[in-house]
Amino acid sequence: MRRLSIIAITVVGVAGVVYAQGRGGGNQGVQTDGGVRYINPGSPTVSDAEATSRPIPRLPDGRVDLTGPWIGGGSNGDIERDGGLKPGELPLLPWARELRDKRLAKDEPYTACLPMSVPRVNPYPWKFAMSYTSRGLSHIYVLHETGDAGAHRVVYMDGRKHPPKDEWVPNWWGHSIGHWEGDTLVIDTVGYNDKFWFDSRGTPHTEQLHTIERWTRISWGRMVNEFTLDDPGAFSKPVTLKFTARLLRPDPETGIGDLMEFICLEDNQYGRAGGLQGIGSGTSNQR
Amino acid sequence: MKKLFVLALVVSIVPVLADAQGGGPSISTQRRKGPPEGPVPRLPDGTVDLSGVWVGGGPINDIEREGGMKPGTLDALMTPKAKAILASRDVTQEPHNRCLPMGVPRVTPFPYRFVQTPTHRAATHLFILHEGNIHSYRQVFMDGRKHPPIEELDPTWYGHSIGWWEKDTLVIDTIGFNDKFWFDRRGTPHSEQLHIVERWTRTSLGTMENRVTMTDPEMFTRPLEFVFTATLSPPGDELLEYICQENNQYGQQTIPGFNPATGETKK
Repeated sequence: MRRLSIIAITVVGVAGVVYAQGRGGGNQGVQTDGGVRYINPGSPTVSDAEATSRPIPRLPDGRVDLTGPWIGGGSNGDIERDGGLKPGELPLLPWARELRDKRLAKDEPYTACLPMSVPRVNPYPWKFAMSYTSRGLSHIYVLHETGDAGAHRVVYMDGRKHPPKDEWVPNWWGHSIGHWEGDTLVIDTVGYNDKFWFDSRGTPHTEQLHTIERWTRISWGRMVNEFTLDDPGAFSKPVTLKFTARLLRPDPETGIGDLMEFICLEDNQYGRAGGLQGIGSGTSNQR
Repeated sequence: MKKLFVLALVVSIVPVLADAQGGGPSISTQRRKGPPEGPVPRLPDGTVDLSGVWVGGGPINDIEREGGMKPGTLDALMTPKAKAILASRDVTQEPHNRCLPMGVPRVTPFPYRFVQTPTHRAATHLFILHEGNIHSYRQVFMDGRKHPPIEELDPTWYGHSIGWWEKDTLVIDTIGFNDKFWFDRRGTPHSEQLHIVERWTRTSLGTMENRVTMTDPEMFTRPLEFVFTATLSPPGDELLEYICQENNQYGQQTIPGFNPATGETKK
């Protein structure tokens, strides 16, 4: 049950404690990233055929169980492509388009162990931790395997509203309030800072960003995130994107699928050792 | 509900918006009045509700003193190896000051939450989320599994934790730690042989006892027992967003003798 050693090459990979699951998602096989060859085994997720083979699970109170763990469901390499748009369809304002095209992957805050924020995902699994208390479902936390860089995101489920705009203190995860519309979890977020990137391509936003996520578990193995992005500071109009998360396939021997411990800060060599180019020279980028 | 000044020592704080709302006494003012009183809350299935927003319940500066031991007791139980490691450490080397996890059973001056998560089956996991120092989480398996054999565990900051309930006490048994974190700012060490059993009992609405038993034959000549008490933060408190690595000046700012005006440290 030793964790696959190749993970140490692909990312920062602090060894977790459990189950040798190949992790890595996206494109599988031997890849070359900025000259560094590595093996990406792909994340084990349930197949399309399996996805509908079981009923959608529910909690004791009748709510859909959104726990997961999930792979995907957001943007990673390119929000425009990942969200189902054609090249050039993302309604970026000229300055924002210019900034995106100027940004180098090596400068991405996420590769310096800072939070990935919304709607970003990475190849590692994440969970909705639905916190049940004596007062019912009070919070939902989003936990990414990339513990410190992923951080924990808080979604208030107790019916509170956003604070008035003049009290916002822009931060990485903003202020998120959630509610249910039927079986769909709707998360409304404002108060973001402008520091994180939507993708490694560098798609920017401003502090005016307002996001609405509609999470619907459409089958046992799939969950759709219908994502509305409204940012008049960087986009000419609101845009709706669609992402699909895949359920992590449990370990075939144990039946267990869990998040591992991943401490990005412990040995962060992602940017340089991961082969991201343009470091120092500012002239090249592996895109 | 301005909460900023509680965190004034730490530069890298970004407060969550909800807590920047005006009106009413501050959280720290309310905290000084002591923990709220009342009966222990329970989930619909009768399980004790530990969710809270808790402060304390583990060591920060000195595990011996804060864990209820008489002065000198712990030092007397240290092996020569442990004494040598302790003597080699000073606060400037503390991994926690570099935004690395604090391990177990350590806490910070900042609050934390227990997250009890029933799924479509019974609760399979419990998470412990800390506001600081690192924005990570600890995972406890509640599904009845055992620890894997120790040789199959890769040593980690939070180890492999399994939990269960003994009546109203949450028991968490953990092995598989790395030897990197410090139990306290003093630098009290441990090895990868560390085995910790925590017994968390919510004794009232506002207080929770953490009775900790630890064995580490490489560092201590016999098992150790500590008792810590966590107190509930006033209603309305939440964990703030705290991104240690965003602007980490914590370590330097807390070194005794450091002068922020000159940037120099007086020995």
